[in-house]
Amino acid sequence: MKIKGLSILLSLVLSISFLITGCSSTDKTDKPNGSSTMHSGESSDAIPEYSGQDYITLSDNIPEFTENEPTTESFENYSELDELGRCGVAFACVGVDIMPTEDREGIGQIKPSGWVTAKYDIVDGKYLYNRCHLIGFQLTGENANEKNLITGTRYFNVEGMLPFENMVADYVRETKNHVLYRVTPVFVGEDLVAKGVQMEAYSVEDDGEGVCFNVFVYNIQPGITINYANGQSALNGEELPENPSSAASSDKADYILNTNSMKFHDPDCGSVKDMKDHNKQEYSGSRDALIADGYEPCGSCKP
Amino acid sequence: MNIIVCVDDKFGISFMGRRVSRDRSVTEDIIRTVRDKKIYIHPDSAVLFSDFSDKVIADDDFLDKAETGDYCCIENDGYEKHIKNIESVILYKWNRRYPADIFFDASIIGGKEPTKTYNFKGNSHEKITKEVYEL
Repeated sequence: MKIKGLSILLSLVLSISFLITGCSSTDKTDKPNGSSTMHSGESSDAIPEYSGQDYITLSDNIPEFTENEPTTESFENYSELDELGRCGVAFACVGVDIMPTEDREGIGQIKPSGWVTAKYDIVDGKYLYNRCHLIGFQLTGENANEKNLITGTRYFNVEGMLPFENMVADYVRETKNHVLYRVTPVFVGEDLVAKGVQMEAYSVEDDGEGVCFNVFVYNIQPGITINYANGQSALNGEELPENPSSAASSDKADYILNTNSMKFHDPDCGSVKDMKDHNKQEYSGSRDALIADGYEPCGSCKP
Repeated sequence: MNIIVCVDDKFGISFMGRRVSRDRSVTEDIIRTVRDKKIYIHPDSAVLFSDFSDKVIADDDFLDKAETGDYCCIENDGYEKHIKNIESVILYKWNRRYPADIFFDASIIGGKEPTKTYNFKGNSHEKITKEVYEL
């Protein structure tokens, strides 16, 4: 457990957090075990190690927005990638005017930091990693924005982040109110894969009565061990690859083939879902070998 | 009593003291369902029925006040001691996942098939399923 200085940090956070009268938890609810606190972008030392819970609440579930941040004007901001190509804080005021009105487009051309293609039978959909939106597509309609996509497990994406995104999206659609929303990926040292994300939300017009949370969601996949430094992974109890660079190289990768058009696609390419089953093949192997066989890379996902 | 509960895919009702979701089409359907009866609610639920305030009885002890045949809208725990008095359960399913720390005790309807099932499009939800269980 890395909770050095946690009590001091808690005091600091509570002192700078603006007073959200309708936002604290009630005594009717059970607080998840291991609740703790941290600052946005603060040292990951403040985050307890994963102990079996998909998420923990931070600062008694009170988000850390400052007094001047609540607004009824929609916006979205994304941080520049750092020198390691990693995403930073994504911040938005979500309103119906910036929610998507069209279907999601392909995002397979983005390779977030730590991206490695890995497949396991125990993972829903087989692929361990998803390109996880910091601010979900259903909230701001961002497609292939490299500043908004991190390497995250399937479990983290669907079981961890999605329920919170759903809560915000459905509230905004129902009330036409705004929700201040911030997602902060937390990387340990020079790790390329985030340990998880801090998610904060606060409904503006009703002072947090509708939506209010401050949680840390762990980027984990049950049954799989992840090396957060480079994205390498292995089944629990098995050895992680010794040489990450070779294992993660482009020598061998997974693609989806269209045997009719003779194009190959990234598995996450948006056009894969439109492909007829009898034209579709899953392929695992060298990219060069595919091209030698007459296949061409998809112009959209550029695998 | 007949209890009305809105749940997510894992029977989640609320998270840190807040309902996991809401939809005005559900409120309107509840009003149609109870017909000329009043709905017993906790005062915290009054915001859902702000357009129908003459149709609700809001009281901290609403479950103690409700009698046979009455309808109670439940958005939190505390109903456990009244289980023996429940005549029917009306579930509104959001067909979505939300974070939750209070869950409806699905064993109350365990093993039973709903006597009536309805699906409808909500104001902000693609598909809401209403299931009625007679106990």
